[in-house]
Amino acid sequence: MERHVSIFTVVSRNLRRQAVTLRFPDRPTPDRAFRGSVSIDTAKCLTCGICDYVCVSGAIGVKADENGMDWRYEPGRCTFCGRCVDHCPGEALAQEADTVRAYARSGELSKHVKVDYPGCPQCGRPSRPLSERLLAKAYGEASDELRRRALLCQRCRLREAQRVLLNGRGRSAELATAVDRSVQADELGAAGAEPANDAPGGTAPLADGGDDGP
Amino acid sequence: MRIVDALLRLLIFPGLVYALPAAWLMVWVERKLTARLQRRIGPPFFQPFFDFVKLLAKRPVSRPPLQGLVMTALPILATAAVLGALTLLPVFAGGGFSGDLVLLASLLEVPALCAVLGGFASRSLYGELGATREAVLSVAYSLPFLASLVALAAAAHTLELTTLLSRPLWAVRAPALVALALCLPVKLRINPFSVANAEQEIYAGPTTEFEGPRLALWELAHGLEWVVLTGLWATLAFPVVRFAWPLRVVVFIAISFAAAAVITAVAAATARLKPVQAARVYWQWGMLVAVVALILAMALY
Repeated sequence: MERHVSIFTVVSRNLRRQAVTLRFPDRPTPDRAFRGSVSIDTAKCLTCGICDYVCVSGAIGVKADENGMDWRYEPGRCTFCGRCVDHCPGEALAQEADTVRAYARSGELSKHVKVDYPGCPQCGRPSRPLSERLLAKAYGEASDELRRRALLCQRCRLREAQRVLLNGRGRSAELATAVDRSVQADELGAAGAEPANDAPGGTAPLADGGDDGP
Repeated sequence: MRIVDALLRLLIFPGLVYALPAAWLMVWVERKLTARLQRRIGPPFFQPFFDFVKLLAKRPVSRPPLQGLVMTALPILATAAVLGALTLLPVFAGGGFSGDLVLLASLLEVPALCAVLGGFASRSLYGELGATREAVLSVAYSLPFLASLVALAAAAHTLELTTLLSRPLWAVRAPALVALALCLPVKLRINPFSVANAEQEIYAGPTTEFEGPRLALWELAHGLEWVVLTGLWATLAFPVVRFAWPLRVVVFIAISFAAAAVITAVAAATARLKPVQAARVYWQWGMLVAVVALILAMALY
């Protein structure tokens, strides 16, 4: 390394080299670790909506419907804080190593990504699966059986529960009937009928039964 | 005939028609070359002209009547003086008059004087600081600048520029040209002698408070100063005296722009001196060269 460089050497070298300034559309390439706009990997997304919940600037919006989730991201509002990436349970979110370009109209850069719910392995209806992390939180060490059930849709899960309860384990038949009614109510609700308005119906008895236990 | 001749010089060459585009072109050359030497892209070709037009179109700030008048009159006076000096440049043979060297030297001092007055008239702290520096420096550089012109006049035994140029006198001309070249950067307020306007340090020095059309006129005067000072140096540095006029014009323009490029390159490669250091350069080295020219003029011719 040279210790003393003459200013005339520097100046004449500069004259020969190309200018470091870039004309407008060109931008300097950001560092590999640069935390820029957020991207989503729909294959890993658990459709939990935590990103929407933790987003400080309202750049991420999540709208869920029957078949999936609409994930909206507005880079113009994003502060690139990375909270969504931090909190994402499925590691579906990542920050790209790219700066967000200038825009003329608000919302011009807005991105919409449709994340479909995976089909229920039993009946094929779209359903929102439970995440591994949620299972671990609820049950500690989750067994393979639990993991299988976590993938089921709500209806199939309730049917499964009914089957287990009817198979004995010393629980009352009354409880099984309550589960059956709950499944029926769920089916009615899914078909667009008015919700069951009789108080003991729905999922309430199941919850009551659980509370009365101890 | 003299009137027509003088008008042609004032309006066409080396006056307005040549000097206005040349001023903007020279400012562009300075900015572009500085940028390239600093590895930047630099402004596009028309930028100095666009800057001028944009400043002209701005509404001037309303000021107390007398201050507004003074602050408008000073840049106009500076521009007019530089244009007058341009008219006197001895590019062509003939057309001069006895004593035009004195008039040229005094007209070249007017922009600096206007800058000093303008700095104080603006009532800005930075303007006053810049004006003080300009005054101190003009005392410092005027000594070698005028001494070298006096040496030339003494050697040629005339105060008429065209007669002066018709004699070779290279023994005196060479040191005088060195002394004059040393004075160009400080008169143009660029590095390493950008003490008076000292951008960023004291904002823009004397012109800090000037805005819109008033600033546009200062910028114009500054551009014309580039043309007249490099032009004066170019006419004095003409290697051969008896050229046909088209060749004289081409050589004049070529040497002017070459001189502008060289002092720009020096400016890009140097840092600003302190006022004391800058003054010392002229009192010591500038005077040394000028005195050599004076002694040679007395001894040889």
